Amino acid sequence: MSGSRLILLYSTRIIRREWRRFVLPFLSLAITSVVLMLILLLTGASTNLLVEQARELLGGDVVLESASPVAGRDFIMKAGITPTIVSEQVSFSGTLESNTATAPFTVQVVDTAFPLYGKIVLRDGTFSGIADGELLLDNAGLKRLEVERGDTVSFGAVSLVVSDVVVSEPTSLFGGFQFLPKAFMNQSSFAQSGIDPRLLRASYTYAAAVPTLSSVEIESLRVLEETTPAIAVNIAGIDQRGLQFGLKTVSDFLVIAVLITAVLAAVNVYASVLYLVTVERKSLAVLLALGLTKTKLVYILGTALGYVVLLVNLVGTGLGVFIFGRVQDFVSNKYLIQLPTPDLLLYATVTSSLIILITAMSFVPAIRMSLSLNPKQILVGGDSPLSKQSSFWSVVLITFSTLVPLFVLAAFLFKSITKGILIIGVITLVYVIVAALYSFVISRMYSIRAHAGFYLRTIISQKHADGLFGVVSFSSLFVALIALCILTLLQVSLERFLVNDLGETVPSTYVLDIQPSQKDQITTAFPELELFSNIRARIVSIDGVMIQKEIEAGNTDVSGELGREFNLTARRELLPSESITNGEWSSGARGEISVDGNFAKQANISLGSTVVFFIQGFEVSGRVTSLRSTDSRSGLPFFYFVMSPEDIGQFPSVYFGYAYYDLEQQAVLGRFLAETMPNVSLIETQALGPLLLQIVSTLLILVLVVTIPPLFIATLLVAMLVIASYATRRREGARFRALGLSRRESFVQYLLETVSVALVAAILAYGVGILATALVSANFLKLDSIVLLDIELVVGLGLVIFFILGIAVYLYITDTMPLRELLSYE
Amino acid sequence: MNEADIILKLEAVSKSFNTSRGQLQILDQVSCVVKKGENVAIIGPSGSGKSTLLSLIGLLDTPTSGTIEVAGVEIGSLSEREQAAFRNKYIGFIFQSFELISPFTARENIAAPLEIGEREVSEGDLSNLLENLGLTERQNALPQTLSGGEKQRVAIGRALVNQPALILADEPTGSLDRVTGEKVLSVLLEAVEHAHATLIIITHDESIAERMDRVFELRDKTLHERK
Repeated sequence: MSGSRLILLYSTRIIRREWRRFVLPFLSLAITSVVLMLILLLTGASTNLLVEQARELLGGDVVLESASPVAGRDFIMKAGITPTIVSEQVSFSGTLESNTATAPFTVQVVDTAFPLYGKIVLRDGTFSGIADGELLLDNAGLKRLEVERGDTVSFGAVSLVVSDVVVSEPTSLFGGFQFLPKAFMNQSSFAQSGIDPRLLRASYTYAAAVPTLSSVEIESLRVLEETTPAIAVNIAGIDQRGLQFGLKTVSDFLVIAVLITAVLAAVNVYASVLYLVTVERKSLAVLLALGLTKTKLVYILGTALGYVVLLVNLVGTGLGVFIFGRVQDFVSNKYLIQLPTPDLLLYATVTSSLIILITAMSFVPAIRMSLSLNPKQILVGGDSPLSKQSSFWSVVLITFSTLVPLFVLAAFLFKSITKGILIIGVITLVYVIVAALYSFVISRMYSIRAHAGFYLRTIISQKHADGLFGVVSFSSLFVALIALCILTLLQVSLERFLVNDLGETVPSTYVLDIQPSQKDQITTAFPELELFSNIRARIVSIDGVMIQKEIEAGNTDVSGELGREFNLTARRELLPSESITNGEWSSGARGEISVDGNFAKQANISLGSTVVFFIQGFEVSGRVTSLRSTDSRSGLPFFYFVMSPEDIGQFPSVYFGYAYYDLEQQAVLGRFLAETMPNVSLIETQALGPLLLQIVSTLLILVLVVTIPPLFIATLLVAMLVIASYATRRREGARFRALGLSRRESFVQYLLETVSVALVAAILAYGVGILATALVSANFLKLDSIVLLDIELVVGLGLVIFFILGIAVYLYITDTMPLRELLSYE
Repeated sequence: MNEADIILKLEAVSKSFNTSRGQLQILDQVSCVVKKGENVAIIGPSGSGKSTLLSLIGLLDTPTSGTIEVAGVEIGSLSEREQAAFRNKYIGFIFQSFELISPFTARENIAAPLEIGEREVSEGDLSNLLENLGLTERQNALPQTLSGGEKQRVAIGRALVNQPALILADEPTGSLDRVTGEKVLSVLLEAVEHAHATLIIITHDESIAERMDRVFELRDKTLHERK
């Protein structure tokens, strides 16, 4: 019989006759495959969804912004990008006038391609572009101008008809909240207004739809952005601004969840393969005595495992796709979120390849090590073949080879080899340290076991005799529990960030245009209102450089942005959204200025710089004593310059304020303003709320859905390890019973062993989990803080211990094999 | 003695193991010669190294020093692959605990050495062997459903099917009751005689040793032949 035929014959025979031994590894691998497939699909779908939302928020895949007209096409062509469609917009603050009122607006001039992504929801009709002579206003604008649909509003020299009311538009949350009501008109109407855009503080936008951006193209854009400071480049899904931050954070979390799942999958596959090799090897080692070479034995076992993996992949990917379909339906029906279907074939291939790769990488070293003994040792001492080999380097070797596929996956997901190496390096290090520590502790305890009682001595001896399998089991359990801790802590932290930081910090109520004479009256009536003075000023000079003159002279070293008017505020306290990054803020002492850090960089302002402002006919100077960073996702008021009340407090100023009012309080405030201060505008951010809430709830659902599979697989891994350990203890237990231990005592001994190890692993995992969460949170998710103590997690870990206990009890109750058979059972 | 008549030659074979308490010497300078067709018993107290010696002869383990020749081949010089092929061709094993391949039926267990050696499996020969061993009825049974006697008869069939020159039996009746043991031994001796093979048997049982041509006692880590 030829070699290959022999291998096929024997491997098939083993699978056919010994299929029961393959059930546990099969189930374990199949569930791993299902979970891996499911999480990859969910992550793929979620990422697509997030990219769609990012595009909608940004208004394009690549959006260029500048204070002057943008030669957008040339710019992105230089980066080697050919957009499918583009939209050009101009937005500025302008005054609109109705028959009865005049009000400042944020005017957005759009072309026919606007919006590239998402849709504009109108109150009465359906948006299909803006015709010549038409104007769209939002609700606040309607109120401010005291007009209705069909009324005429003038802007410069042109009269426009209000054609409908904008309920929501996709980019409304991009870049924070607008204090002014919004109006939309087309380019022709704007041209007819006769207003020179150069006289306005206009912002020019060039939005391009580029469905697939390569990393090379992104890099080219970044290089161009560096060399063209006048143009800001925003890339959907990458640049974090406004709510985009939330989207990016969730995307990163998804990648981390996939990686954790992959780590668990690898460990699970490894544990299954090692279990199978251990039980099969002894029964097949006799073939060596009959003249089979070790290589052929490896091929026979490998081929048998290959059949299992083939079936696992078919079942795993098929079931994964099926469950994903159900999850899609569920999310769609329950939350009205349509998860897009990613490329199924691609993900099935990735999942299958990963399972094959991880299995091969764990099988080869496991079987090689297992067969490194001579046939006699395998036959005679086959029960604990690996114990003598459980050296530190064996663990390192196996761990490294198992984690190679993970590195490939990490590099693929992060699109960076360095990040892949870093992540997998850290995971490997943790795993190896845990394994080495465990080996060391068990070895030390073994050497002093004589001082322990019978039960403890037995447990120590058995753990010592478990050798490599014991080390891998403990390390795997530990990794599973760490993963459980990290995911839960991250999920809770992220949830808090999404709900509190992203949603709740946005004030529900803004009031604008409060006159100095009205300030005391309104703060007395509504003490919760946080008021800010708002004084308009131009910069005269920075460190002696005469800004306005230099701009007029065409000095390109001075940013044109500095030529415009700025809003200054006088304040003594920092806002919760602000933090000093450099220098000191001494409660607004005379002569001190605090500047936004990013703006300072753009304007060449540094700590100690002297800035002179021109305010209402007077020059006011101050020294920059601090640079601030502002959390742009907070939705709180934002100023480039904060000055001392002693310097600018004497100037007549208007005020605006915010408060966290509910609908009832808002109604009271609205009535008060209508009756006593009709000039003051009230902005209720609930108008933006539905969109914001929808995004936040989408993110929360995604986080929750994606967290479930790895938690499931961690639990599965724990179960797998308990069952595997029971299989190895069964005969030992029978031997103890033969020596006089009762069945109950033998079981208690097993239970003590299992639970004590799980308890130690759980406590250590919680500690390491917190550290790892802090690292991941700081380096990847950029969350401000993490949740350190989560009662649910502690309860969850307790449940894991009970789960282990439960499985052990179940195995004990269902194991009815008589003692005689147990002793002779192979 | 004519070299061509010699099937096994041990020369100053020693075996020791490294333990945590230092080196443990099991066999020391063991020498002996066994002729083709001889039935040899090795007796000795438990732990005296009988099984270790058998493992060395059967190429399951390697000696610390000394040389072993089987059928004129110095087995220490063989590579692992050559050792496997040699084992398959020249040696048949019978273990006390049977060591049957659990997923294989009785017939498949017996045929395994032929298949591994990539030799033609003659269904007729196989059936004859099964019949001689009284296993025709049980040929499709899996090991876990066989009785102890049946298991050992399968093991004997498996050891003989390749017509090896040397049969090594490690307490082949040790796991069987006396009556079954007697029957199995008779089957074994008959089969060995029929195959013109050489049998080396390890036993504690003096009555079995008496039925052999020569008896060696393993004592003080070396072999002493009983006269």
